[in-house]
Amino acid sequence: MSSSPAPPLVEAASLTRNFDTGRGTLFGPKRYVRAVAGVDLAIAAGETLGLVGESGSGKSTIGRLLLCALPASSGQVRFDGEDVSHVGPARWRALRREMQLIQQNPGTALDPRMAIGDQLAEVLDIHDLEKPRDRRAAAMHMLHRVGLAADVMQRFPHQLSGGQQQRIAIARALLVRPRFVVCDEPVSSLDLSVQAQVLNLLQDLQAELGLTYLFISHDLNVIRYMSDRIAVLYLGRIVEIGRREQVLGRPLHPYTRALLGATPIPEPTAPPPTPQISGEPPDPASPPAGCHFHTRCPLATKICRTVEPALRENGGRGHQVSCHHDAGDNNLVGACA
Amino acid sequence: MTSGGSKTTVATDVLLDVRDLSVSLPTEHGPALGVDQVSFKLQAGATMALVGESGSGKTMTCLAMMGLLPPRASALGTVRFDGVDLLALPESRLERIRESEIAMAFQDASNALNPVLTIGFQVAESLARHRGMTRTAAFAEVRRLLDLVQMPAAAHRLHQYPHELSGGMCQRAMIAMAIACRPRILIADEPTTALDVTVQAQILALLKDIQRDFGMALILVTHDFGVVAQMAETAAVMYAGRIVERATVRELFDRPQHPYTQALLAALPYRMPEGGRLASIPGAVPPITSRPSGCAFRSRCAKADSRCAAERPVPTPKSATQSVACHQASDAKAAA
Repeated sequence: MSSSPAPPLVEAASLTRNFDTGRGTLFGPKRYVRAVAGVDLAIAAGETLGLVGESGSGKSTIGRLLLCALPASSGQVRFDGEDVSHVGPARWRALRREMQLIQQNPGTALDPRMAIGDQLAEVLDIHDLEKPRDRRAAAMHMLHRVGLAADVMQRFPHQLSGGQQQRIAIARALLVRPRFVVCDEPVSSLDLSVQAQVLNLLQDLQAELGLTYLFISHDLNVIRYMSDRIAVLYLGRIVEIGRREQVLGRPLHPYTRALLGATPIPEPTAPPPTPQISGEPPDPASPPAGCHFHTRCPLATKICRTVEPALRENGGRGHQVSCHHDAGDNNLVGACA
Repeated sequence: MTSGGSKTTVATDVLLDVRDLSVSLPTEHGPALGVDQVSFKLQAGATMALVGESGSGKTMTCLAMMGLLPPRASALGTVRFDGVDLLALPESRLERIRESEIAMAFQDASNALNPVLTIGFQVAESLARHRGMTRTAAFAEVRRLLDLVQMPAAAHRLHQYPHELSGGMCQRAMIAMAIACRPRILIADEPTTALDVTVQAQILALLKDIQRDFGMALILVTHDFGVVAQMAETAAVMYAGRIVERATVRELFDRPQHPYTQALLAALPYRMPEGGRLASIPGAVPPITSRPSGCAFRSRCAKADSRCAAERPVPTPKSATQSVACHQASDAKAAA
């Protein structure tokens, strides 16, 4: 982005991913779901891009595409200037060390039959980092760094709480000293008191190790706390992107405003959440024509039903929105800011 | 709001009076208390939130009140509804009270509905059983109820099965079923947890509308302080099977007294000023089989001392509407 001071570490251009859903009948046409549809984004080194959207909006798919853990149907991913969309196995393996994933459910992300110490040492073994005899010490050091005691090394995942498991997943991801980490709903399965521990830890580690995050969440309050910039996703497309204060302070897309208006605010004096949009997200397998949001949009007019709006600069300094009615002087803007 | 009245009006208004409700659950290490001496009152037409983290006993408290505990679990204490102790009632009478007087909408509606019966049949069932309606009358009423809960294409949904509906529509069907007999209390157990935020806002607004139109009391079980702040008048905070603090929602957010409540509120990302750091509570909720002696929160509490280990704190009134179970609560004010 032009507004970002540092050059982008991760870039996506026209990134698209389709998932086959099989033929309806034996000789019927092939059908697919377009989970990600032409996404462009750039994440500067050291920054956190928050990705927010409802279920089925393609958040996790984007995360996996950027990690090259999932091949794109079309489009390009660049990491540190290099096109990594079609790299061979050797380079891919090297890239794994640079880019890591922290998943939503640490219980399934960890190997249930392996002691924690062994799982952590194995990661170093795979990437041939540290001398073999130093690996357990390095693992132990990282465990301390994420706030766990040494006795965890001998334990198995089922003996640990959800918060401890997530710390281990974080330790395992960071052990190989990645530069880019995709945090995919890392606190969604955790209780509030533990959620705060993990969010703080992720921020500390980012500052300490100079990490770049893609932070995926459905919770706007968590996104607000963690992100420098925010991208709002609807049915596989970015509908709005910009710096946190732009997107949340002066939202331009009606969907962003609806998300903000629907998120319950933990203040008794705040206005109650208002359902500004009716209905539920459409089936991604058969998205509406034109603007995907027009079926639920209070501002939709004829053009929205036929012409898909492009993501373009509005409001200045990297604030982009894809809406035919984003004039900016919209009466809803002030109400939700 | 409703709880601000004088002693006498409060006494006449009380619809549900829960006293020392405990639930013993079977575990590998013998029976353990999943709910531990919980007491609260609910006024007619009021909204109370039961808030806490997972495993704090919120759902178990509700199931015990409804007489729906799992096998081998048992409840102690009294649950007076309109002066009658529900725990002492035979199942046949309790069944009449369930649905027609106190109804419950369960978490994750798509799993709570019967997968092999149509939506129409499931909602009609309670109308036929409790209101003695004929098939035709019941289905006409179901149609009306589905419209009331703003079910899209309601006439069509009558004949559909739960798997054909989205999560939000299943939750609407569940609410229609719960309010079919116009209960005086609706217990909604995490009614929006499985839903997207835009749909959540619709369901919460719907619950509020129905509550107002029916004059129904609402017990809202949730872990989300945003939902508490927006929906409830009073709240009870649960930790490890106990209610640690009860207050009006304004008091709870403005002057939390229990260290646990204070810590939870300080852990909310929304309330954090720019560049601030979230407070976090060390450790995790202790499992049901190894709860600390004395105060259950003491193992994670910065203020705990020897008294907290030796003596269980009892709920102590701090105002007409606020009570807290903490030995340190008088000093806790300064920290709030």
